Amino acid sequence: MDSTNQNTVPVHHENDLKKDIYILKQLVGKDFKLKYRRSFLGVLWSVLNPLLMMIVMSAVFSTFFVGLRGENIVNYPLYLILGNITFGLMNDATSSSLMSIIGSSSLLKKVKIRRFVFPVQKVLFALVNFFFSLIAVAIVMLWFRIMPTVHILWLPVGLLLLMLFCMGVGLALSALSVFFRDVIHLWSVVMTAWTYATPLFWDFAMIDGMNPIMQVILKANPMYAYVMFMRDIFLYQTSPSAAVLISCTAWAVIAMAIGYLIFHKTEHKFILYI
Amino acid sequence: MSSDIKKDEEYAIEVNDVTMVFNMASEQLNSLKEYFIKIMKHELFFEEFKALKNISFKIRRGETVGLVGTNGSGKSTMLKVIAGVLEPTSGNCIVRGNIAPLIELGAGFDYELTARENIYLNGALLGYTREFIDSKMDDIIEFAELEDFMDMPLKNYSSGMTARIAFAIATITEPDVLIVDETLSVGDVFFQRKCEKRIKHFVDSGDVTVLLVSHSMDQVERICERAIWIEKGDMRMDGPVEDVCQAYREQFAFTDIAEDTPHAKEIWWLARQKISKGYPDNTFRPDVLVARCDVAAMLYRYSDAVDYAPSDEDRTLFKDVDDKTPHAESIMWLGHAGIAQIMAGDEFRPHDQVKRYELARMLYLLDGKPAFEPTERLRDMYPDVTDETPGAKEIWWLASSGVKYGTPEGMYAPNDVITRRDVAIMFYSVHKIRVKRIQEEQKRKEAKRKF
Repeated sequence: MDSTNQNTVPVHHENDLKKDIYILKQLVGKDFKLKYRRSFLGVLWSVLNPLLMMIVMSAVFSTFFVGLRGENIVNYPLYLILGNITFGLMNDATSSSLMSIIGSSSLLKKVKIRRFVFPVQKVLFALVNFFFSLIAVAIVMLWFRIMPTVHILWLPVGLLLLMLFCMGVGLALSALSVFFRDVIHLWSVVMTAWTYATPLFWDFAMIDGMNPIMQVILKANPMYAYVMFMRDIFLYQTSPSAAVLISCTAWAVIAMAIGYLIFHKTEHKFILYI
Repeated sequence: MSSDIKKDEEYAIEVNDVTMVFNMASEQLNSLKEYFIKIMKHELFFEEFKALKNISFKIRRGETVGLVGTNGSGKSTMLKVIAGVLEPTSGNCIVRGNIAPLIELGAGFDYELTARENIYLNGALLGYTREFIDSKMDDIIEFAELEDFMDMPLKNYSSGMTARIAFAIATITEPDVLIVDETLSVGDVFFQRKCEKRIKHFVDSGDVTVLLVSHSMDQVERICERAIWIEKGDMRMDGPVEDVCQAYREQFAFTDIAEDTPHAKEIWWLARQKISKGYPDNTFRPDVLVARCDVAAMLYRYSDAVDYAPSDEDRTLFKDVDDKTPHAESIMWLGHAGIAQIMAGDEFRPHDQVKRYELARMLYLLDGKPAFEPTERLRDMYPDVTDETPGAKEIWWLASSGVKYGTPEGMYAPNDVITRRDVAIMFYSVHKIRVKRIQEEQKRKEAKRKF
């Protein structure tokens, strides 16, 4: 058992951060393997799903609900798919991190591990799937001969801010659901309402026609900002406006602050309730 | 590097005045609605349960310590605090070095993944680098003896196989602190021996601190040098393993009862149930004959009569029993409960000795005269107990518990006077009958629910 190469191979990580990063990688890898194990199309679904959704919705809103979609949208399919995958990322990230602490109860009871790893890992996993669906976006852009411009370089910024937002929400949700299981049901209702409140399949220009209070509410919606960001850089080929940028950043900061606070204050009690 | 051990760092594990309090809500509060309603009504009460009370001890690097205590004593909680899984309510716990915890097997195992994938995952959780796991992969597979099963999902493994992998991963290198919680009870003899050998290897190297929790006193005595006894949250004793283990054994036992004393188990049960406290010199004296007043006292303690205070009527039940009679209250309760009257008329005769069949009858009455039909096998069990023998039904009822209680010749001797040992055995039989009854009722309820 005592082998000579033990001197050259590092046994433990240099510090806790490296250890946590390795654990994160392992957990994300595990989720990935499990998601597509035994499915025939496997990873392809991450590309197909948004494409198919977009085709269906385009068809619906071009025939049945023509009036609803608004006149000013430059390219409806691309408008749709960008909105859907961005919102989908947030939906995936928050819904899966909601269950992350409860789902890892066996681990938490036996090993000393930093608990934030679990919700963060789920958010990162959602991001991995998001990258696959960007392939679908590429396909759509190719189909409509829309060339990407230099503004696409804003993508990492937008994604980072969205990630921070999702992590904040995820941390808060995962902690709350340990103590109040209602949160699980509540959240799916919130997601549904949120889907309609965000201009995913309807034209955001319609907001200007509504009464001032509605305008404020709808524009303050964090997902409004993130979806606008994505559409600005891919569809409208412009840098995101200052208002959108400020909104994205502010929401990211607020979410992280609240999420961290809730999580940190309650995490040592998790083990008693899971 | 941390190989310099300074004077104040020589303790591998430091437990400093650790108290662990659990807030047990008086009811389950799982939903927001209930929570808010309770808050509004100011009914949010929490009962405090102190699992650990001001525990302090220090363990040096390389020591092998056993943690003992009865179930529910707090030793698992202590282990979790040391492993870092639980944070103490007050006080702190410092562990210097890497911890390899074996608290319930399969920590971090995902049963859908294969063994190989789980080794990487588990290794990551234990803090190992990828390169290290790669270099040790073959050793792990070899130790676990699972060469042919490495690419099978873990859910198809038996518990023994999972145990082998978990142990192999945790001990593939020398952890600084190894915490073992009753893990060694899983697996066959060969595996257990292998594990003990490896733990012994760590112990002998002098560099690994081993903390072992086990219910097998033999194992603790075999492996550990020092033992810490935690009972109901308090630190009872901390010293050399032989001393602590002996004291631990003696807490239920009496100085005159050893493991090989006939019916030691029943006598210890009697003491644990606090039906008999033994004599002031901590002996039990199993062969001493028992008087009727003593039996009354033991029946009283065994029953669930909590708030009994003798009424004036009870005091006059028996002519020969007054407040000066030993265990008078118990005798009056016996009369009050209708168990004694049938025996004695209006005299209790507290100092007479009790016959074996008489005690059987009293126990039967105490249990509420349950419906009972003796089987053929029971009827034939004792040649000297037939339908004509007084107390036959009650004797067979006791025998139905499965507790062996005859003379060496196979007789029952219903008219012999009972000894203290007999009392222990008979009470234990009743207890077993009750337990069986409750289990059967539960099974019936389960069966009903399924349909």
